[in-house]
Amino acid sequence: MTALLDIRDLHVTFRLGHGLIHPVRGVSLSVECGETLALVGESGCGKTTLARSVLGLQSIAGGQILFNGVDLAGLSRFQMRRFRPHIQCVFQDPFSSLNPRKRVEVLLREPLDVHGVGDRRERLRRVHEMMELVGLPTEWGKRFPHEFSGGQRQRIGIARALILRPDLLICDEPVSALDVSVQAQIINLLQTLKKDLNLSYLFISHDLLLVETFADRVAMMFKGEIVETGPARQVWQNPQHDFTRRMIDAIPVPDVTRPAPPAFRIDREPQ
Amino acid sequence: MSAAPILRVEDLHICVRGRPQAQILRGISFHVNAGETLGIVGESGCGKSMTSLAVMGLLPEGVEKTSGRVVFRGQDLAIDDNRAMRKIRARRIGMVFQEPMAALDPLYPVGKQVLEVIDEHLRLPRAEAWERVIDLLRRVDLPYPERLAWSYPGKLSGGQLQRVVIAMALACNPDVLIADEPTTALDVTVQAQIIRLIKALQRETGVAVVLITHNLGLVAHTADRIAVMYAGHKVEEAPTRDLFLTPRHPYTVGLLQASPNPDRNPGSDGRLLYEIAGTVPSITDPMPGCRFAPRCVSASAACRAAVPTMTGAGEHAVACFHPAQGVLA
Repeated sequence: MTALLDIRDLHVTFRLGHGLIHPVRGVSLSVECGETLALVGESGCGKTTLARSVLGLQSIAGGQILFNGVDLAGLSRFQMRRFRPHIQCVFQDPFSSLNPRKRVEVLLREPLDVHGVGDRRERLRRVHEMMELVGLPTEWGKRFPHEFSGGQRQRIGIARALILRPDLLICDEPVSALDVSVQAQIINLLQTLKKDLNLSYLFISHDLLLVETFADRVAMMFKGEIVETGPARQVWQNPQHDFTRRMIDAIPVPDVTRPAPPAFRIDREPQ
Repeated sequence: MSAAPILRVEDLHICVRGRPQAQILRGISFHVNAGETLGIVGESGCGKSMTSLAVMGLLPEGVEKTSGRVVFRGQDLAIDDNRAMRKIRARRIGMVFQEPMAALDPLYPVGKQVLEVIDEHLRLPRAEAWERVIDLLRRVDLPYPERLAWSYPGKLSGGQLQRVVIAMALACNPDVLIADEPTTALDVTVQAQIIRLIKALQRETGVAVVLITHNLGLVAHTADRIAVMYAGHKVEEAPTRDLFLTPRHPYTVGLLQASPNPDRNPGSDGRLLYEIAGTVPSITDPMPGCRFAPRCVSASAACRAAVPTMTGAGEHAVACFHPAQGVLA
């Protein structure tokens, strides 16, 4: 397998007042073709900043972001535009990431308009095709986002991200705002689409228990660095880094036959 | 535990004011005993937060109680009388909310906000009250409480803020602590610290805890009993172990199967999760039968005709005409 996305020694810095903060500190990771790589970490660890730099929404301080062998970091804005359709993103909050004043059909057509794909008829055809793929009846195209539930809105978000037929989909906490039963629907949809459309995922999450069920590999991020990577099941069963162990020790698995998470026990000294 | 329940909610009905058909709670009953933890589990819109607000007498504008009662230590609470409830809130029943930042005023030092609760309910001399604030902050394991008391909320982390909110909730030694999604906004390692803190304080003071959450993993390892809510109804209630090992309501079964569990379905990568098809009905939907019926795999004509009532043996009760039998696979 060849790496679709290959990040090498990536650094991102922010100026904050007179100081400099360093949210991404020399990250190297790769997403192979057809793979789901889960990037797992706690809030503030730099995982979203990392995703933003891959999307070209965040300037970087050093390193390379190779997509199909081309370094995105060295591209001009104009050249970057050509690459954008290949890398798309599904956002966390399906309530704030859709323009409430636009009908679903328009929301889904917009990326095609921006990139000048096909004519009017072709665009509408692709919108309807995509709605069917994500499980939305095409007659709902005339509706506005507020008429949909959270899970349905996330389907719209996924349709919008996929309409340009990207190779890599970055999913930034796509199910953390959803209920358990709906979360399963969206994860299953993503799994089906991945197979049908030949996609690769960079799946950003704080939920190791969830990604363990469907990711191929997991990269654990802590304080701006990748501290551990490995096959999902192996990381879950045999964590190597102290941070991964501490996280697993704190996760309550919904199963009463397992002992309570060690971090829940009150006879234990706090760390 | 044969002692009389410390808090009892009986057949609570809540609807949108002036629209009796828009029912948010459709007859909720539960109780909690001293020293016990009751978990209330359900998904968004099931009415679990409305239940906790009702118990605290904090129902929002435009929402009213149509019937039912809340009984605290054998005494009826006038939950729609704000003045009467001021004496109960924080003094007898403490509450911890989901968003600690929203529960605190950004313009006052956190210690002052804990002090405010003490001043409202207990007549203590200044110095003694402040000493109590420092002691509370220490008991919730905040570092350097004397100094931290003068910090503004914006300077503290989410976990520290939630500790402050817990200190406020416990400031007057209440008998009941209602924690509504207390850890949902927090990282999983911080969640564990908060849960451990609540458990330790419970062991120390004997406070009864009502833990409201959507997270089945959380109640599996903290609650003694669990009530499952769906669309304004309580659909199942059981001791924690029974609920997880022999769930009877199809909704409970679905929830458990939809929750990621590395032990239940080990196997190849790319496996699919169990999903519950469809969505929760609107609160105004006038369906005559069980509100889960449209999504239920075992639904029959009877389910669509009438609402099942809670029945069951011992402590395990379920509101279903076709409850699941046996052990969850």
